[in-house]
Amino acid sequence: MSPVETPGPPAAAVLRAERITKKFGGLVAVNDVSIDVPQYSIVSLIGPNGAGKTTLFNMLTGLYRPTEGRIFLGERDITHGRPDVINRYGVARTFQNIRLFGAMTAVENVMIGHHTRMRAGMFGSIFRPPRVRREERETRARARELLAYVGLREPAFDQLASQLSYGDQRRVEIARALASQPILLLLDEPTAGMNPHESQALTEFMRKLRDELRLTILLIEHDMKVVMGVSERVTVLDYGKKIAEGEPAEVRVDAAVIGAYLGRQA
Amino acid sequence: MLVSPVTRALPGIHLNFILILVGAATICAAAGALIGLPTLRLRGDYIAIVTLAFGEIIGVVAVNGQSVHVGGGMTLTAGNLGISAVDAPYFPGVGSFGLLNLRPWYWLIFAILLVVLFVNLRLRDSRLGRAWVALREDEVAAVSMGIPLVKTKLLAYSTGAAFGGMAGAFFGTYYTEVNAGQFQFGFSIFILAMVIIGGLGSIWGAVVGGLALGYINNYLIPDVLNGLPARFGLNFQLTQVEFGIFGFLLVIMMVLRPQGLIPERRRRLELTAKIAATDAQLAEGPDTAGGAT
Repeated sequence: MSPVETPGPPAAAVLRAERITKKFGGLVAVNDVSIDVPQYSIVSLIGPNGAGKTTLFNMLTGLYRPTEGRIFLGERDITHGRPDVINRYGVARTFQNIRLFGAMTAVENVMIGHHTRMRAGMFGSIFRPPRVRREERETRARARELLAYVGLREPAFDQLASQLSYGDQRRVEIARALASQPILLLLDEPTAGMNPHESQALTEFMRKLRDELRLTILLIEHDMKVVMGVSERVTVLDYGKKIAEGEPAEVRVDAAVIGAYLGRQA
Repeated sequence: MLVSPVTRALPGIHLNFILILVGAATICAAAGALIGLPTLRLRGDYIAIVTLAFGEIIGVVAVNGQSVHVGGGMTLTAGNLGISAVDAPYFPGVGSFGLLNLRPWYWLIFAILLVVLFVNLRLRDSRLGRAWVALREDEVAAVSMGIPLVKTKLLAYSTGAAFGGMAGAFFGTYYTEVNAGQFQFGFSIFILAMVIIGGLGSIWGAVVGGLALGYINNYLIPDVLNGLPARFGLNFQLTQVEFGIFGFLLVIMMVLRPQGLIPERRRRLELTAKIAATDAQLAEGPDTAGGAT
């Protein structure tokens, strides 16, 4: 597997969100949050349920428009970008409650991830010139390669996604995200529903992704063992606000964070 | 060019049928995209409802356009007259298609069918076809994985409408006229019934559904079974209740075989896999059956 080329100066912020706010009517889901994700780093986003973590993800990927603030991918302003365009620029994600295309096979799901990197249009699809045939063949081969890379066993490749086991569905979702050749990978609670052993394996896999594919990873995570083990930086949200930020060891002893998780003393 | 010398002498516009066919497909593709725009936010049944409503609107506009004057003594449409005296197709070597010999008509529509089938099968197994399935399965995941929503959806509308345009071009020349009265609501439902009975989402299902309902509608009911009620001493003919019969068929299908006569491959996979899972569960014994799923 060849590493993905990532242009731009090293250690620069791949993703920078500046003071973004999202209001749903009277509810302020995300309130004036800024976040920097340095290149080739693994950053965790934590916080109690309803803190606005997934809302933040949805803004970063273009599903929601921020009410205020700006989002930059490298030097590029993606604040008002469409989700598919942001994906083409190099942001791929997974979902908290796995969203695979159930009636498609694992391989087809991953091929969808490669959609933006393919060129066949209407007429290419109908007449299938050699260029389109080759593209289709290469995409399929690459999809199988990626599925093997994330640890799916061969017999599952051509099964419908809806029939795969829970763990395999998580794997396929990551493979689908990788297929779009991202520079930044957003993982929304990747270890949800996993046992400690599986979580540990995934933690190692995230490091492998960063080192082998030169990816930058931002993840939402509840499992503190994973957060402390994998991330270089941690950002903590509570009631839509950023209440702490820093290295895992610092955040762990932060009074505001402990208060948010365990309840504040009167 | 390539127009029968007989019709060329008549007033009006005369073009070769192939040109008409391509033109109809192109214009309808554009119209399809236009009608698709306001329905972009809708899904599933709601899209079907809005599409059927547009069918009604266009019919009404075609009839009432007669009282809309566009200047120069012209009206927007010719009302109930529609477009009449449509040329028969003409091909060198074959001549003009006549009304007495139906064979050339048959081969023409058969050729159009083959083209449409070819295009559909190719699209189904392509980058675009995959994107359509993905959008149907999960719109949020699809756009997050890089599928442009508006463009991809409008392309689906456009291709569907282009096929409709080709069918319409044939329809017009076959009946030598086109007017709103030929496109009643019942006709839309009849076509919808073909698709549902064949199997939603299945290309071969639509073919089989079309053949089945075409056979029942054009042969079985009027020619074979029409006198059946009279034999039981009933005072009506079967053709008078044909919509009732189609409705009954739809209900029967929904109860006995909701996936259609030839289900889509994906749906078939889903169904067989579910059965296999149940079998495996039963084989494991009742103790584990509950926990396995």
